[in-house]
Amino acid sequence: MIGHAQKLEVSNLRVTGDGGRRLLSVDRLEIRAGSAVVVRGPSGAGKSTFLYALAGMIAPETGQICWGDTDIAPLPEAARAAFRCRNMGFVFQEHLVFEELSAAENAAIAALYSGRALRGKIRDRAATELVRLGLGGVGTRRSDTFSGGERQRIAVARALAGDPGIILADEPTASLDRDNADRLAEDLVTLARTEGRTLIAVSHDPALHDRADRIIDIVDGRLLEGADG
Amino acid sequence: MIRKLILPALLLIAGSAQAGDEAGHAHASDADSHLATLGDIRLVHAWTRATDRGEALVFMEIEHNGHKAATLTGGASGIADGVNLVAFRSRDGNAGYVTLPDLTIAPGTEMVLQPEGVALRLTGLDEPLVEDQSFDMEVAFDLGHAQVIVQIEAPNATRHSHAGHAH
Amino acid sequence: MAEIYHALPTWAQDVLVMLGLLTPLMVVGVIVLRGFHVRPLLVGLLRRQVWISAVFTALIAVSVALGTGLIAQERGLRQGTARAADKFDLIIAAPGSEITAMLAAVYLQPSDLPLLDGATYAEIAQHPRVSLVAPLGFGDSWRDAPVVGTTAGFVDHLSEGLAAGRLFMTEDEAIAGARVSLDIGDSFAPAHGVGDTAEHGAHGDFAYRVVGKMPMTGSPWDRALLVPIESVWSVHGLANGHGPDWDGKIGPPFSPAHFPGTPAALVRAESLGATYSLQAEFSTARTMAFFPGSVLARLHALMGDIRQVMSVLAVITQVLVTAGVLAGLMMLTRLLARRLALLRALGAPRRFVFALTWSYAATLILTGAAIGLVLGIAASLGIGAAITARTDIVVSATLGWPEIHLVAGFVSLTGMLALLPAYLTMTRPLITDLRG
Repeated sequence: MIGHAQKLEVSNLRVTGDGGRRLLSVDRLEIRAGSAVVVRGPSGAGKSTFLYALAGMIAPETGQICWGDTDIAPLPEAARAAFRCRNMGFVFQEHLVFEELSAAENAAIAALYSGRALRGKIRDRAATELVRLGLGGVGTRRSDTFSGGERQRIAVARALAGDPGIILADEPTASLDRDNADRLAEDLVTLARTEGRTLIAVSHDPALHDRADRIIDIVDGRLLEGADG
Repeated sequence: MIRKLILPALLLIAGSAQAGDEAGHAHASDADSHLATLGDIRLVHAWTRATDRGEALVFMEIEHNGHKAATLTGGASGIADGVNLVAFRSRDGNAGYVTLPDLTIAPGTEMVLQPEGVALRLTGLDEPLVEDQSFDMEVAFDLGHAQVIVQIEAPNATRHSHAGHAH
Repeated sequence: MAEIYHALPTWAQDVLVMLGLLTPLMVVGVIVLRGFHVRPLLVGLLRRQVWISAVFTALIAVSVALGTGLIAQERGLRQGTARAADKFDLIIAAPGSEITAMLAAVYLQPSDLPLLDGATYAEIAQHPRVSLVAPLGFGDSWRDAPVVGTTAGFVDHLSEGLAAGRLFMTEDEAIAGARVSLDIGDSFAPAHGVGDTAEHGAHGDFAYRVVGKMPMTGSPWDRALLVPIESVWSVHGLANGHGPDWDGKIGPPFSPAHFPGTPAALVRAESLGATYSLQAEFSTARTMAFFPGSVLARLHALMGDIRQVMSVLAVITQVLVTAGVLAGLMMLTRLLARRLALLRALGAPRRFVFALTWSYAATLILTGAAIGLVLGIAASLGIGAAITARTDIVVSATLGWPEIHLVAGFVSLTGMLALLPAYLTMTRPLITDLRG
């Protein structure tokens, strides 16, 4: 199912770090809309840099990053943030929830800065996602009362609350035990597939590798896999 | 018992500032601008403070060398809408100037119009009063009117710049 | 524009000034927070950093309290001293220092003053425009209470009706001030002089009997004992103010030839204008006439420069403290960097992070200022009570417009300064902060 998933096309992408060191170099990459892709590679290979560039959190030196019809690479920071806010959901390695907020408030965090018109919608969606992720009925509890696995699921609910066409995940299962990791991997891929979202996850976890449509390897800032979709 | 005298400590510091400037200086050329007469009444050193607030208090020394009481009633000036006689009064911790209908000046006495005392209040000033300039004003008594030239002093002046000088 | 402003009633002018001072803060607030709902995160931030927030708020509160307390206290003292002089329209004394005479006659601070003689006193008493004249003869005391010789007319004028008992009718009767520890029927023997140098027993077995109690006046007269002037002269071995054909009734008229003298006389006339005329008439080589209210006002005006300096110092103190707080906030934002980076990574615009940081600082400032205002009034009430205990002048501290303006200006200024740490959080490197 495609849904409002976004297709990705990257060409001539170059990302340079402080001191001029080349961090990432991608000549060509295409990812089909609605597919679940895992990116792997050794430590320091540039996987996170790749993810952050796709998210618009890093401005590349050159190149194009086209999500659907929108090339986000040349956009100013505020426009990239706005695109990210509207179209992307992000799941981090360490869940990174605001402990003093409730589960529902965390999941609906985007409601605080998305404008009055979208506020109600985001809150409703966040509540729905919490239920789907097995956290229904506990939305008002403070987030620091949940286990690590539950907090990661709150983070996933947060990522989905804006109904994004793109989900980006940076080692989403790394800080979880085996059972929780398997469950989260299953949730992420299923939700992406059934609702038609493009999922790109950086991960070492075999649970995600097994479920992915495609695996991309990065070594020393370069993609090993080809450019086909 | 020795009372701590917070008040006197403060007031005595200021007390030294109360010492009057009584040195007499003779004036040469500008004596006339500081002096006006009306019969036995001499009006000396008319002054006011620079301001842009639309009203001002005029002060002066009035010496009555005659034999019959005189009554100060008010005044007039081309630069103000109205002039009236006011007197300082402190009540219940609040201080201000209240209007007087008139003021009797006994013969052989000197009435000093000064800050925190009696004054002539000009209201509805056309323009700000600027330091070191002057303007004409009429002072009204029951016996008649006297023309004075009012000297404009600094905004925080407490006396005429030539106060204490004999005329 | 200025004309319209000056034509407004004073309270309206004060409200306008306050709104004017708060306007920059309100405008900044509206612009910064436009479109955002920062409250949940702001509350979360305050809860998470509760101790640091409390310390910063307390610092701001203390500095505001100092400033407002200072101003309120100064005004309370100024008004209290002025109120204590309300009953003393015009004082006539022998030539000398107006301030010394005022301190003695109005505030009962002991001083050696030259005396007005009988002829001069008679001239004042017989003046057609005088409605009340009363001698004020001090010099004796009982414990820490000055014994002042005067007339029943003065007691009536000062007290506006006794709280208990009646006015004195014989030379050995006395009226006690509200705070003197004597009641009706009690007796006391006056000592010659006041304070540590008072000579007890100097007047032999003579004793007064209290026949009346005055109500509170809020002035040093609450601790005074008022007696007939005749008795003060008599106990000092002088004529008692009356000639050989005296009918025995104390009080005026006095015989000039048998009038030993008085350091000062209180004078009232039929109108304010008449009082000023009297002042001019009795400003001579032999007499000095002054309005205690005017003398006090001139002194207050003289000290106005000190007041200005105090106000400026108060503002500087507050701004310095707040600058310190803001510097602390800049350090705090480093601690919060990862969470703020998370928001940006999730797609929150930088302006949201700016708004969150600024509203956190503004909350501390506004809360601290409000608490400081309350603390300042409480402090000045406490200091006022202490001053009242020492000087018997009732000093009441109330919240006034000068303090409100000070605080309004302060919150606006520091609210603007708080834009700086907010800007700094907005410009931090996203990826570095995200990685922690």
